[in-house]
Amino acid sequence: MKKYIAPLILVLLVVSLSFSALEAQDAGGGGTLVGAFDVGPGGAPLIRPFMDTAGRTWLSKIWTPLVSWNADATGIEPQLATSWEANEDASSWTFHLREGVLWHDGEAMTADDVKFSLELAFHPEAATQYSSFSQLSAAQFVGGEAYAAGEADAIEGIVVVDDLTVQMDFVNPNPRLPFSLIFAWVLPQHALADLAPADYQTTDWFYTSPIGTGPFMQDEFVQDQFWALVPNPNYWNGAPKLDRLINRYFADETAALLALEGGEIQFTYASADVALRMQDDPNVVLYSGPSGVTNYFIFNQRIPAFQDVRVRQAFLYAIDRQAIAEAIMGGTVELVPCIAALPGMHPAADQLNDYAYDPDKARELLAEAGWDASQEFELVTYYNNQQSLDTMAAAQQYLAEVGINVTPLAVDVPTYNSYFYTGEGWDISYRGVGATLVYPWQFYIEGGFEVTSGETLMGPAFPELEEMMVAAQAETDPDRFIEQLQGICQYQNEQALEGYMWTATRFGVAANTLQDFYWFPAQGGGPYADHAELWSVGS
Amino acid sequence: MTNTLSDKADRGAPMLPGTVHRIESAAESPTRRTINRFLRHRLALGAVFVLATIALFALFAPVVERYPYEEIDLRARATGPTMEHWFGTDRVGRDIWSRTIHGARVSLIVGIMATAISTTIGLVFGALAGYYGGWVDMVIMRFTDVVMTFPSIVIMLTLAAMLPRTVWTIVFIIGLLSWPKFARLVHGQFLSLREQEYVVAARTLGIPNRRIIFVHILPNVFAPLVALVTFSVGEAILIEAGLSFLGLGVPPPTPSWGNMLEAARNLEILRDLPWMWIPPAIMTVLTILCVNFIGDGMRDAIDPRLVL
Amino acid sequence: MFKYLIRRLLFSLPVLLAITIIVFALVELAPGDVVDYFRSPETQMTEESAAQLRARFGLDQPVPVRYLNWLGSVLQGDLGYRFVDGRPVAQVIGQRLGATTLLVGSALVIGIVIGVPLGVFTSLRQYSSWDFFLTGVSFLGISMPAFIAGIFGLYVFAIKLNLFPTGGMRPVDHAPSLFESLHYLALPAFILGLQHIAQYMRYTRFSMLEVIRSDYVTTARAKGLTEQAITWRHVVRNAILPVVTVIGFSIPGLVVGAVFTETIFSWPGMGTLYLDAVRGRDVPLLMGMNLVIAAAVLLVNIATDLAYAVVDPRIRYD
Repeated sequence: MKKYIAPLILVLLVVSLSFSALEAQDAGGGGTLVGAFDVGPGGAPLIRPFMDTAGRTWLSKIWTPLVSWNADATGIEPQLATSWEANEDASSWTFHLREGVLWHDGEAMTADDVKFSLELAFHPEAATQYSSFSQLSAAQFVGGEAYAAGEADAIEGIVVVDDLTVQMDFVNPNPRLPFSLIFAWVLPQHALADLAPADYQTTDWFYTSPIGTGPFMQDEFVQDQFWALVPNPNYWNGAPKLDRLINRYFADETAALLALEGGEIQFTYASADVALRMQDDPNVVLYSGPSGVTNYFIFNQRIPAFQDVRVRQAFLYAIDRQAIAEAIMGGTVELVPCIAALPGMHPAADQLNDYAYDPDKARELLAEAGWDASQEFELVTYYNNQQSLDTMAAAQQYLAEVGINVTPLAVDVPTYNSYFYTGEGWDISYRGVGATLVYPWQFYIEGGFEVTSGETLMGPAFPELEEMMVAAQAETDPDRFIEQLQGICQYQNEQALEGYMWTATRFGVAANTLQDFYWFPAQGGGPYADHAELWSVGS
Repeated sequence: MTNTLSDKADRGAPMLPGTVHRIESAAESPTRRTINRFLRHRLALGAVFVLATIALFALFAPVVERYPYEEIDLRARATGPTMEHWFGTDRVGRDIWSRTIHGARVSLIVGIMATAISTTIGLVFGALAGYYGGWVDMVIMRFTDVVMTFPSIVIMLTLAAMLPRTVWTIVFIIGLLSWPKFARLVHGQFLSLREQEYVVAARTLGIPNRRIIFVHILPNVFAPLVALVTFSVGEAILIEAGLSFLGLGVPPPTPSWGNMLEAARNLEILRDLPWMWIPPAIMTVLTILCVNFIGDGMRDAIDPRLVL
Repeated sequence: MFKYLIRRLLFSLPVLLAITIIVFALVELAPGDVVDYFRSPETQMTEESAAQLRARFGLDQPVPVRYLNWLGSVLQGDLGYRFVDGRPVAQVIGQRLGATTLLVGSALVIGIVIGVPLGVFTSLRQYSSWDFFLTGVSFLGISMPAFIAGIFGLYVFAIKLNLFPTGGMRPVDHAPSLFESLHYLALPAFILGLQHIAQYMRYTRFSMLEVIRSDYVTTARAKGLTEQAITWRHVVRNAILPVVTVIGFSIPGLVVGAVFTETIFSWPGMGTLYLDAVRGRDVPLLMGMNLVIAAAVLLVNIATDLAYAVVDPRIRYD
C-alpha cells in the first residue's frame, strides 16, 4: 500500500491541477478584441454615465443599468433588476434586484447603490442629461420637486425597502417606467459618496479608476488613444472569455475602416454604402439592424406657406422616395408613413397614404394652395455623410420640378441647433429623430407633458395632436397604448405634418475571426444585451 | 538696368563714331524685352496654353457640357466613363465631365483671385514696412502678426453664417486671411535689399523713394515672391476643398474641384469609384503645375542677369 | 539688436491682448454654443436642462464679463476647464502639443533635410531631366489634398505593403520601445513632410538661381574658387534668406497641427483638438489654444527676424 501512496498523491495533484487549469480557462483565454466602438452615430468617446446621449455600448462593458434593451431592441431585458411590478395605476413600482452582484472591487451591490445613482443623476448641481433622454425627471417622483430645487437632500419617492428591493413612487402614473430605466446606470455609492455633485462633470474617476458591475473592468486608459479592459471574474453572468477588450478611438470612420483592413482592429461601424461594398468580402462579417431613427423633412410652420396641408402633401408627392431609397441608400431603408420607428406603431396600410411619387398631383395641390414658385427656401441639415448629401441633392431636384425651390445647406451641430431651437434661420430641415416607446413629444408639446397652446418648436401648436399624445402618455394598458400610437401615426400621415422619409439600417463590420460576437445598431449604443462575456477571438 | 549709351541714342543725341551699343536695347523697351524672354521660355509658354485651355473650358462650360451639372439621373448613378458620360457619373447620376468643367470656374476664381488679393495687400504692406523701417515697420508688421494668428476656421464659420454663400465671399475670406505670409516675405527681402550698394547709391543720388521701391528693389523680390504665389494658388484651391469638408464651401449643387475631391474621404469612392475624384485631382495638379511653370517663366523673364 | 529684441517682446504683449479680444468676439459671434453642441438632434433636451447647462458654463452672463473673467484667470495662470468634458485646458493642450510637435517637427526636419539639398541640386542643374522629374514628383505632393495623400499613403504603405501600422501612436498591448514609437511616427511624418519637401525645394531653387548670377559670384569665379566652394560659401548662404522666411511660416505648424493627417493617422494632436473645440464651441479651450498659437507665432516671427540679421549681416534693425 505504501508504495502506491506517492503515485496516488501525484495523480491527485495532477488531477486537481488540471481542474484548476480548466477553471482558469473559463475566464480569459479568448484573446484580445480591439474595436472602434465609438465610431458612428451610436458612439461618443469618453462619455460618462448619465451624460450619455450616445456611447452606451462601451459604457455597458463597465457599468450595468437596471434594465436594458434585449438583443434587437424590441423589448426589455432584466439586468441589475431581475423583475418588477407596478401598482394598479402605475404610480408605484417595485424593482427586485439581482442577488450576489459584486462591484469590481469586491463590494456587494445593493439597493442603496440604486437610490444613490438615481439621486446623483437628478442632482441639480450635477446637471446631467439623464432626464432628457430618459424622459424621467426628478419632479415626477414624490418629493422630487423639492430635491430638484435643492430643498431636500434625497428623493422621498425612491425607497430602499431592503438590500435587494427598491420602490419608486410617482406623483402621476408612469406606465412605461422601465423604458426610462434602460439608461439608469447603477454607480457604486461606496466609491462615489465623497464626490461633490458639482464635480460630477469634471472628475476623471470614470476613466482612470472606474468601478462598476459590468463584465469588464479597468486595465489601461490612454487619453485619446484607447481604453483597455480586462475581464471581471465576478461577473454575475459568468467570467468573460476574452483576455482583453480594447476600445480604440478614431477621429474618422475611414481611418477605422483602414485599421480593420490592416488587421489591427476587429470591429467598427461602417456607413451603409461602404458596408454594402464589403458584403462579399469573406474576411468580414456584417451586423445590421434598424437604426430606430426616422429621417424626415421638418417644416418651419411659422412660415405661412407651410401651414397649408396641401403644400406639405405636395412636398411628399413631389419626391420619389422609392427611387432615392433604392438608388442612394441601396435599398437599406424602409419608407415610413410617420415618425414611428418601432414595429407595430404603424396602422394598417389601408389607413395610410403612401404618397407615391406623383409630381402632377403635387403641382395640382400647389396650384390649389396658391403656391408662389418664386420663393426660395433653405434646407438645413447637420448630416455631412455622403448619402445624406446625395439625398438632399436628389430632393432638391425633385422639388424644383414642381416649383418648390430649396437650397441645401449642411452645417455643424451647434449651428444647426442654434437655428432650430430659436425658430430662426431655417425654413425646412432634414433631420432624424430617435423614437423609443417613450416618445419624442417635445417638438409638439411645449414644456413637458401638459397640453399647451402657443408656440412649439415647429411653430404653431397642434391641439388635436397634443390631446392624443397626452392620452397616450397616460395610458396604462399596453395594447391600447399601441392603438393610440397608431392613431397618432395616422394623424401625422394624413396631415403630412412632416415630410417623412424612412428609417435606415445601420451596419457594423467585424473580422470573421470573432466568435460569439454580437452588435446591434441600437440608438445611442443601447444599452442592449450583447453578452460581451461570451465574445472571443479565434485564430 | 538700362544702357546709358542707348539712353542717349533714344533721346536723339548724336552718336559718336566708333561707339558700340547694343542694337537690341536700342529697339526694345524693358517691357518688350521681358515679354520676349518669357515667350522664349518653352515650359512657361506651354503652361500658359494649358491653363488658358482650362480657363476657356471653364468659361464656355455651358456650351461644352453635355448634361447640366446639377441634373440628377438616379437610373444612371455611379457609372464609369462611357460614350454617354465621358467621365462617368456621380452617386446621384450627375455628369462628372460637366461638373469638372463647371468646377473649374469656382476653383480657378478662388485660386487666382484670392491669391491676387493676398499678394497685392501683402506686397504693399511688406514693401512699406521693409523699406521705411522704424515705427512704420513696427506698426505694420505687428498688425501682420495679429492677422497671422487669426483662427481661420472660426472666422470662416462665423462669416459663412452671416454672409451670402457665394464664390466671392470665399475668395475674399481666403484672400484677406492669407496675405500675412506675403507681407513677411516681402518685408524680409526688403530688409536685405535696401542695404545693397545700388540702393544706397540711388538714395544718395536723391532718387525718390517710390521709384526706388518699385523700380530698383521690387524686381529683385520677384523670385521668392513668385514661388510663394504659385504655392498660394494651389493652397487656395485646397483650402476651398477643406471648407467643403466643414460645410462652409460653395453651396450645393454648385461643383468645385474642392468639393468633388472631398467625396474621396469616403473609402468606397476612393477605392472603387475612382472616376469621381480623379478628374478634379488631375485638374488641380495640372493647374498648380501650370501656375508654377508660368511663375518660373516670369521670374526668368524679369531677371535682368539671365542670359537666355 | 538687443534693444530691438526687447522692444519686440514688449510690443508682443498688447498684440497678444488684442488677439485674445478679437478671437473672443469672433467665437461669440459664431452661431450656436456648447449647449447646442450637447443637444444631440436625435434625442431631446428639455429647455430647463438647456438653461441649467448654460448657467453652469456661465453662458448667461454678458460677453465682456465673461471675457474679463477669462482674462483674470489667465493672468493668474489658470487656463480654465473645457466645457465639453471638464478637463483642465492646460493639461489637454499640453498632451496634444507634445504629439503635434513630434509629428510636425519630424515632417519639418524631413522637409528641410531632403528639400533644401534637392533645391540646391536642381538649381545647379536647371532644366535638366533631373530638374523636371523632381519638380514633377514634388508637385504631386503639394497639389494633392492632405486627406487623399494620407488615405493613399496609409492604404499603400500600411495595408497593402504592410510596412507600417495603420495609424495610432503606439501599440495597444504593450508600452512601445523607442524603435516602435518611431515606426508609428514614420508614415504620417513622411506623408506630411512631402509638402514641406516640395516647398523648400522650390524656394531654395528659386533663390539659388537668383544668387548664382550675382556679381560677387562672377567675381568669385574669376578669382578662381572651385565650384563647390562657390556654391556653399557664397551662393547658399545668400540664397538662404527667403528659405528661412518660409521655414518660419511652417514653424507655427508645430503648434497648429495638421488636422487632416492627424485624423487619418489617428494621431491626436492640436489640429484635431482645434476642430473638436470649434465643433463643440468650447470657448475655454478655443481661447487657450489661440493664446498658445498666437504666442508661438509671435515668438517664431521674432526669431525669424533675428535669424535674418544673423544670415545677412547687412540687415539692420533701427
